[in-house]
Amino acid sequence: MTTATLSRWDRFRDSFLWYSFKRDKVAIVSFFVLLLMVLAAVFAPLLAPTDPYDLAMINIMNSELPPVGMDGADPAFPLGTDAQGRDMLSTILYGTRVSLLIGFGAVVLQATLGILFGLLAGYLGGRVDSILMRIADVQLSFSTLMVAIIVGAVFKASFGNLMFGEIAIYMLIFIIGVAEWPQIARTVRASVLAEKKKEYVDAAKVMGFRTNRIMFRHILPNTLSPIFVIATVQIANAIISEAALSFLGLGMPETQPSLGSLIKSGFDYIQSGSWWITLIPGLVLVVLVLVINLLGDWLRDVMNPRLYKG
Amino acid sequence: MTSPLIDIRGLEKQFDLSGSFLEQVSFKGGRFQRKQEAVHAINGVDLQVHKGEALCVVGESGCGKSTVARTVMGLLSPTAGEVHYDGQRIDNLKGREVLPYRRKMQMIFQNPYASLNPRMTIQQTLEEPIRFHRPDLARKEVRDKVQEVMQSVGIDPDWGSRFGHEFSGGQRQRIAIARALAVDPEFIVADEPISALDVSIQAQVLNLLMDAQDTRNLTYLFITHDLAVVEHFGTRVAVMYLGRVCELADTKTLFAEPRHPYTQALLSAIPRLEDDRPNYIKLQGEVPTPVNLPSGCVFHGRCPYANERCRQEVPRLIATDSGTRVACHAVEEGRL
Repeated sequence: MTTATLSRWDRFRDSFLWYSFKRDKVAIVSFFVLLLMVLAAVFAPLLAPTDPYDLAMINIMNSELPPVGMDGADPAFPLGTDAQGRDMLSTILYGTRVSLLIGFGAVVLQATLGILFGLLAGYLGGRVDSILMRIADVQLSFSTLMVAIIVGAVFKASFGNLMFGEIAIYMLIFIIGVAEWPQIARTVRASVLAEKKKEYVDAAKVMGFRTNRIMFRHILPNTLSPIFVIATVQIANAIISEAALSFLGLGMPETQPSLGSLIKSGFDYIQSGSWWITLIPGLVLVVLVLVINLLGDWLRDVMNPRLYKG
Repeated sequence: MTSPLIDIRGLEKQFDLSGSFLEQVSFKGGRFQRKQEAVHAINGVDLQVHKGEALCVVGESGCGKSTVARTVMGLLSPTAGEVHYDGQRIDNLKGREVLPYRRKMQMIFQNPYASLNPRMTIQQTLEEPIRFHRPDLARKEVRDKVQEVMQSVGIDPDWGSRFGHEFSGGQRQRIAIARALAVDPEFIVADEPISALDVSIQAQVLNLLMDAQDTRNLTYLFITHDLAVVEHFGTRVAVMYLGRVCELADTKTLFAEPRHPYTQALLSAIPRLEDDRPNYIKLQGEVPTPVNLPSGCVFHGRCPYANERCRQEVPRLIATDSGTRVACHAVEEGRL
C-alpha cells in the first residue's frame, strides 16, 4: 500500500462515475449539449445580438420576419422575429435563461424542503413521521399543475397583471418548488430509514452528538446519491411545468418571456404562417428537457446500488 | 470489595411487537379482542462490572447480550431497572447531563464495515469526537491526539486522509477502537468486536484491546459468543440464557467447574484437540421464543434436572462456596 494520498481530482478520475461517463456516448453528448445551453443562457447578455427586454430596440416594422433562408428574411435576425419585432435568437437565449433559472430555483427549493422533511420524518420517526408523510400524501394526491394553476390564478387576480409580471419568476419557483417537495422527501426518508440502522449512527450517538449533528453531518451525506438523481430529473420536470403554466397564461409575462411563454405567444400566429415563433423555442425546450432527462437516466443507472455499490 | 464501576440492577427490556392500537384490535368470535405482544429481550439482569476488569457476557444468539450492551450505553432505554455508573444513575439522564458519561463510556461495534461513516475520512472520523468533547484543545493538539491514538492501535497516521472503505476489516476495527479511545474513556463496551473478522486478525485485535486495557487502565464489558476468547480475555464471565443471567463466575472457576446445567452443556461443546471421543451434552428441544417466556426457570424445558419447582418458580442468582453465583434450583438444593 502506498502512503501517497490522493487528491480529490485523482479520486474522481478513479471513480466509477467518471469511468462510466467516459464509456457512455449518450451521456457525453447530453452533457455537452446541456453545458452549451447553460453557458449560452448564462452569457445571454453577451451573446444575444439585441436585448429583448429593451423596448427602445424593438421596431414593430420588423415583426414576423422569417428565419434566414426563407423569402423576406433579414440577415440581422438569423432566426426571424416574433409578432412584436423582437429578434427570436436573442429572445430564445433570454428565454432559456429564465426557464433554467426557474428549473434550478424550483429544484433547490424542493430539495431544501424535501431533505429537511425527509430527514426529520425518517430519523425521528413516530408521530413526526406520520404527520409529515400524510401531508406529503395529501399533496401528492393533487396534480402539481392543478395546485399551481389555482395558486397562480389567485395571485394573478389579487396582484394584478403588472405586479404579477414583476414577481412572476419568484412565484413560479415557489409554486413549482412547494408542489413537488414530497417526491424528494419520500426518497430521503427511505434512505434515512436504511442508514439510521447502521452502526456508524450508533457510534455517533454513543459519542453524545446531538440529533441535528447526526442527521446533517452523518446521515445526510450518505443519502445524497438518490437525491442527486431525482433532482436532475426534477429540473426537467420543473422546466416543463413552467412551460405548461406559461402556455396557459399563468407563467412568465410576454415582456420577459420564458421558453413556455414564447411558445404561447407564437401559437396565436402559427395559423398565419409564422410557424417559427412557436416551433424554434419549442425545439429548444424539447432538446433541453431531453438532455436533462438522458443525463438523469444515466446518473440513475450509475448510482443504482444494485448495479454498482459505492 | 470496592463499589462497582457499572451497576446494572433488575434490567428489563421489551420490544413491542403489536404496533399501534388499531393493529392490536382484532375481531374474533363475535368479540373485539385487544392483543399485545412483546419480545422479552432482557428479563431482570443484575450485573456489576468492577474497575479494571473485563467482564465477558456469553450466550447464544438472541439471548439478549447485545441488548444489555446497548442498554448500558444508552442506545436503548430500559423498560425497567437501572444502570449506575460510579454510583450515579445514568439511564434516566437527559440532554447535556449525559455528556460527561458519553466521554467516559465508549463502545466498539461488531461490524467494522458499517461502523465507520463511509463519507468521512479517518482523520475526520477521529477528530470529530475529540473536538466535540474537548473544545478547549487547539487544532494542533487535536491533531496530535489523533496521531497518538492512531499509532497506539497500529494505524499509520499518514493514512488519515483515506476513507474507511480503503481499509481491510481488521484495520477498520482498529480505527473503530481508535475512535473509542480518542476521548480517553474509562469503560468500554465491546459488542462482539472480533466476530466479523478473520481468525488470523482476531488475535491481533484482541491483543490490541488487552494492551489498551493495561496502558489506559480500562474496564471492559465484553460481549461475545466465542468461549475461547472468554478464556483468554475475561476476568469474570456471565452466562446468559433467554434474557437472564444463569451463571456468573471468575473465568478460571467457570471453566474448571461449571455449575449451571446450561453452562455445562455450553462448555462441553468447545472442541478440544486432546479429545478423540468428546462427551457433548446434548440438550433437548430448542430455545423457547422470547415472546412467550416459559414460567419458572427459563431453561426448564431443556434441563435434564428440571422438577416441579423449576417449572413454577424463577430461580435467583445465589452465591455458592466457590464464589460462583448460579441461578438454579438444583444447585441450590444440592441435587446437582
